[in-house]
Amino acid sequence: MSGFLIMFLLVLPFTSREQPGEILLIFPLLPGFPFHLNGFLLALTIVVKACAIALLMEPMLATSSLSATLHGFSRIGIPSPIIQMILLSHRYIFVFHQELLRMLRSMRVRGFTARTDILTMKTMGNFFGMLFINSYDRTQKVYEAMLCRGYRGNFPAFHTLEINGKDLAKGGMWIMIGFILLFIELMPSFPSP
Amino acid sequence: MHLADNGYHGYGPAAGELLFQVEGLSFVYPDGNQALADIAFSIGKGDRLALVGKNGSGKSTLVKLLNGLLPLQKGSIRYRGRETGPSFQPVPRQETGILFQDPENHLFCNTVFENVAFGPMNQGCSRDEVEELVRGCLETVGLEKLMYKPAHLLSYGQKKRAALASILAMKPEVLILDEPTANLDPRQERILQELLAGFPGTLIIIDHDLLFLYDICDRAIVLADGRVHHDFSIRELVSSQDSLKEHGLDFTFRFACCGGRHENTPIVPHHHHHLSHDHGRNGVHVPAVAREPILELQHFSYQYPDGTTGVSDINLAVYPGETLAIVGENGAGKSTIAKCLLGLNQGDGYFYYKGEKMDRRRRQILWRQVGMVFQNTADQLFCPSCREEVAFGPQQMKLPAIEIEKRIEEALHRVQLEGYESRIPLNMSGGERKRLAIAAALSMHPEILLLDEPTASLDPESQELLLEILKKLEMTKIIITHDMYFIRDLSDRTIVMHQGKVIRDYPTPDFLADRHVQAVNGLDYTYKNNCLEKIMDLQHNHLHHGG
Repeated sequence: MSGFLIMFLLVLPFTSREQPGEILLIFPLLPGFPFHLNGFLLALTIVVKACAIALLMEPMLATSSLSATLHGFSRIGIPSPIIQMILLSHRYIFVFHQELLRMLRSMRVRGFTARTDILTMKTMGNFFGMLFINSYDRTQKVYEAMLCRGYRGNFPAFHTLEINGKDLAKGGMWIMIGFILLFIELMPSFPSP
Repeated sequence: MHLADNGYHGYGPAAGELLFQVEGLSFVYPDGNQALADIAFSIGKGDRLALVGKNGSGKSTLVKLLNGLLPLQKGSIRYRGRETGPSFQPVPRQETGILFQDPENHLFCNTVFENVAFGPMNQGCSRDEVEELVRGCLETVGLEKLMYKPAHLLSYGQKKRAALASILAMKPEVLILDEPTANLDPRQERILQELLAGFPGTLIIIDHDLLFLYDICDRAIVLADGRVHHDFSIRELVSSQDSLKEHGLDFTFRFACCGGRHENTPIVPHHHHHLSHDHGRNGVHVPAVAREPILELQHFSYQYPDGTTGVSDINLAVYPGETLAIVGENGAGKSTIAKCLLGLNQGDGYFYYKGEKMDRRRRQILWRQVGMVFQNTADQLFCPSCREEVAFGPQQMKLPAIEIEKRIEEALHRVQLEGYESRIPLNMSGGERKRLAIAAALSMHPEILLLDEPTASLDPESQELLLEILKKLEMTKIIITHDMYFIRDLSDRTIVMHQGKVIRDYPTPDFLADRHVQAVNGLDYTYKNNCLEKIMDLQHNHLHHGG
């Protein structure tokens, strides 16, 4: 993510539209590419927001098991098929990744080096085709294993979510903090007496 | 003697309640492949049934039909006397638990607990009941301490046991197992065997390993070309060498190498490496043997990216022309050392090929000289035809078209796959695919052939053919295997690995006599050897008394 955000910081200040009264920095060796302060501030806002979201994800996702988080998601109305897709994707992403690595490894030991030629394109076509077939095959087998264990379209809830006074107090505290932050942010726009 | 095509008059189910009654059952896949043709048999409550036959004989299709995973096309299946099928009540899947070959397919939830709890929760058990069931089942399979571990972090043997626990938690009346011993070391196999021996219900096991089945099952149904060819007691099956041969199940080629009587071999209780630990002028080891090793690891260690030790302080020399077996329990570091010898795992220490130090940049040279056959052929075969598969290596070497054609022909001939040029690898049997993977490696004319578990999931006939082919290959061979009979028949020297270290390096006859090391490292074949001897006696009696 950091690479993506650095690109924002590098590109936006030089490509944003010029606005009246805006401060421009002209570098001696790059007269045709002025540095827009507004563009830089916009890039900085995007970066800070992205970092805030990433920081929020950490306590949300890393402090409880995936199944508990997804159970929470289902309780706030996210459709069950999406929840199940996330659960199964998370479980099998490692398996498919390992399969992909093993196939690539076996190609490399047989002398494969990626080049910009027809042979490489053909090889990669076969590789992705076989990967797709293997993945499809596994999907079918996993589905059969699920059916054998009584799957009828829904995953059972492994966790019980019960709300208590402590949770309500914590929730209330976070909402209060949110309002205080919002108040502080909006304060300068209030008309001064 | 074969059964009548549609008549059921074999050994039959145990006396008592009948669970399954199958009549006139046929099944054709959408591609036109007739998997089952008009078969009939019954399974009684408490039966312990071995379902055997060549790859592609219809075994897996049959159990999927019994479980209701495949729809009934023709014929009937009665479960506890009731007709099943689309117009009737389906087979209660929860009562017939299937353990598929690959445990990854069973472990679709995040933690071990969730995987085992999935079935009972779907059965409507209360949370307390589920908790108790999960704990009980995980204790039974010895995984109670790993209850909250993510499934993808378990070892293969642990995954297999977790998958079994997830089936047992549903308290099935019938337990169906598809190749339960595939890729397990003898210790894990023994654990599984004890678990199955203690299962109180009806057992149906699909496996090629008759030594494993011999003590668990009492009845055997032999399928061939989608038909029931034999239905008799397991004793009758193993004692009739003609039937075994006819259905590709004859494992007696294993007897030829060892005479079967292991107790006659003197026990050598203790051995050490024979590699010298003297250091030469350049600070590296001087091999005790005067010959120049073709591959050599000195003080070589490898750690996985997550910090787990793969192999530690390995000193190993491989000499030209020898066949080296690498053995050890699951997770001992055998496959890791193979990847180190191939330069895929770059670790700390010294790695030489013909006296030249190998590093990341020079391993391309090594890959032209070391042909690798991986454990799972699905990882290796990705081309749409056998010709393209075998041609892949030579094409990457930029050889002329005439030379490539010559090599394809030669490689396919060496593995007895002449005429398979245009066949699709995906549609071939396990044994054929394994031979194709060897051909793909041989087409590069390697000096060394490295095989990882070559016999895993192959039927005895394919194993015998593979053994024959490997014997004829005159090159340096390194074989990673649990298969004692392959070790005995093919290798000159054996190294034993345990917890990432080479703990023994000695001639194969010494290894075969070293019961101590075999027992300590989960390679105890005593039980299998005893079965083998019993079966030999049965075959002897059958042959001489016409029984």
